[in-house]
Amino acid sequence: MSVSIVKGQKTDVTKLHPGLSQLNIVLGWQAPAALELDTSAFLLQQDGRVSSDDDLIFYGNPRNSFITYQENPAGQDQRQFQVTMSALPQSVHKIAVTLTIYNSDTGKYTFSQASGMYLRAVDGHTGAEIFRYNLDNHFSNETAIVIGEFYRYQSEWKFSAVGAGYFGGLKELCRSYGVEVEDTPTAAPSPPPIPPSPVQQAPVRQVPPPAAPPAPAPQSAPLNLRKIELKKKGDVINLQKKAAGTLGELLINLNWNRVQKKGFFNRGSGGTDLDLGCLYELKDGTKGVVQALGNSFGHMDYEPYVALDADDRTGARAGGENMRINGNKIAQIQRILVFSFIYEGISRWTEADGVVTIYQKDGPDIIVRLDEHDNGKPMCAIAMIQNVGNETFSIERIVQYFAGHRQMDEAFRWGMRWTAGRK
Amino acid sequence: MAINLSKGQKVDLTKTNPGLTKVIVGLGWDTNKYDGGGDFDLDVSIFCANAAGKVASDKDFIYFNNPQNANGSVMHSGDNRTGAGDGDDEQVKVDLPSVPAEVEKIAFTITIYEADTRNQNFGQVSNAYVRILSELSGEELIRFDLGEDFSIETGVVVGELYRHAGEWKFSAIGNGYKDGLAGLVRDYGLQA
Repeated sequence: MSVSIVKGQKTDVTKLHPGLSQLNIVLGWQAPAALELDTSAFLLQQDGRVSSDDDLIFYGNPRNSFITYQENPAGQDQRQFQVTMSALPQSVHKIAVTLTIYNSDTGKYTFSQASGMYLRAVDGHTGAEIFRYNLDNHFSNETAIVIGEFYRYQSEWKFSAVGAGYFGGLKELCRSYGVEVEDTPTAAPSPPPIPPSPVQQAPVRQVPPPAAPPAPAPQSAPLNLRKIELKKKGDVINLQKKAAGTLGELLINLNWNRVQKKGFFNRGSGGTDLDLGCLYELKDGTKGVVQALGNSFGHMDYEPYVALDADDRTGARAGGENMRINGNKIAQIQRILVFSFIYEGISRWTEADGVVTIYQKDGPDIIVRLDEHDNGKPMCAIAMIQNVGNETFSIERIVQYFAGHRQMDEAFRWGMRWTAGRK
Repeated sequence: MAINLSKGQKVDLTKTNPGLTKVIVGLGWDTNKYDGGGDFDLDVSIFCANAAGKVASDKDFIYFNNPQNANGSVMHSGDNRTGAGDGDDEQVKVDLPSVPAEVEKIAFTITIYEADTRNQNFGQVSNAYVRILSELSGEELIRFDLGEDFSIETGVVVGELYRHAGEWKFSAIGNGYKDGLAGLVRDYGLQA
């Protein structure tokens, strides 16, 4: 039976649920659209600090061997951390779950504007709720809050409902847990890219300079807390220019919600499986498709310089699907249309709630959410990546649905011939 | 060396420390480190109760507005508003032989001032403890760390000095109350 807890309360987690193997830490809230909240989990040692920057699990570092960050898991829930209890190292004494305001540096947003915030602990196997913590909003100028901390106590895990925070945003939070944060945006060797008008560029996350001495443990590169979300159709951004042949690898990750709403007659055979793929056009006129269907996985070192990681048909792999583009070969690439395809079953885009993240070397992550849905069509053109002067790529949000490859091809004038195939 | 007590434990004080007369009862805590939520003001109050467990007169209820009992054998050192700094946050001096005979036990409590309006409770207080020192030597004789036991309470009876067969003993109580100081005052038979 679920218990409801209040601020300040400490509650047993594993003691009342012996053998808990997967703990889902689920968060939700209501906030004005302009108030963007980020969720992070700090994996803390006995001294209350992280052992390295990898111990901050968030959108930029979404998983390790025992914890996975997910967006839009189901229903009203906004974020989720899945924790494999048996795989938790003994060195991790505490998991602090936090919410921070993405655009807090504008000074316009604080937690006083959010409402209905909650944290639920759920048994990942049975789906049973262990406890629920509704945060009363007593917040004033906080821009980062610790919702609560899961912690070890006498060989069990407990939860402490903290519900308090800092005025200094994620940066302040990171400092309190010993995570080094990038002080200023990455110094760009060239002026910031100017998006072609009339499209608009999403705001860039910038961590303000620190007010106090820098945090310790500078053993690794500072965390990149910046991300750029392409929110509206036609939003476009240019990646940073780099010297010829040094653009590096572009990793395109597609992740989605695999939890299927279980009905009485439904054995829960797993959620929708999304495939990731792309149409490519090279400078020499070569055109083709990279996708699992027909085993067209591509290659990084020769044409098409795009490669898809092997597909997992069960969709069970937590990290989703990955495709890589060899940016060092930009001079050979004309354009790439990234798409997702539901190969089998009903096209439940609403349920899958896919999100594409494009990771680049030394730059912010670029995010495209499949948040506009057309459940009748199995194909979604997500983003167009185009060569800009052989120096860098531009990435444009598309998110447009099609009945199939052929229809999408026609819409973007790719000009290939299509036949049905099987994986 | 100090004896570390756990909740519910009772130990001899004067029997094991012959000649001990004046003790200092030190209480300490840390409040939350977060920016919001307002300041914490924790108060130590002392109830000098009779055999029936009640406080006979208002004078035997020692708190920020009444720093000592009638004969001065139990004396509060003053309020520390913030709980900042190392060491004891508040101290109470007890001259054991001078405690009036009708006082059977001396209960030490910590309550959160204006807990309701400030939306605060003991879940936001960490490392709370009580310890008993010899005033003469400064030696710590007994210590009780409250640890995990409290969360949504706004008042805690941390421990009691009590008479037993002509000696003073100490009981690590660690009972929480949700009604703060007002609830405690009622329980000890006083009008708030």
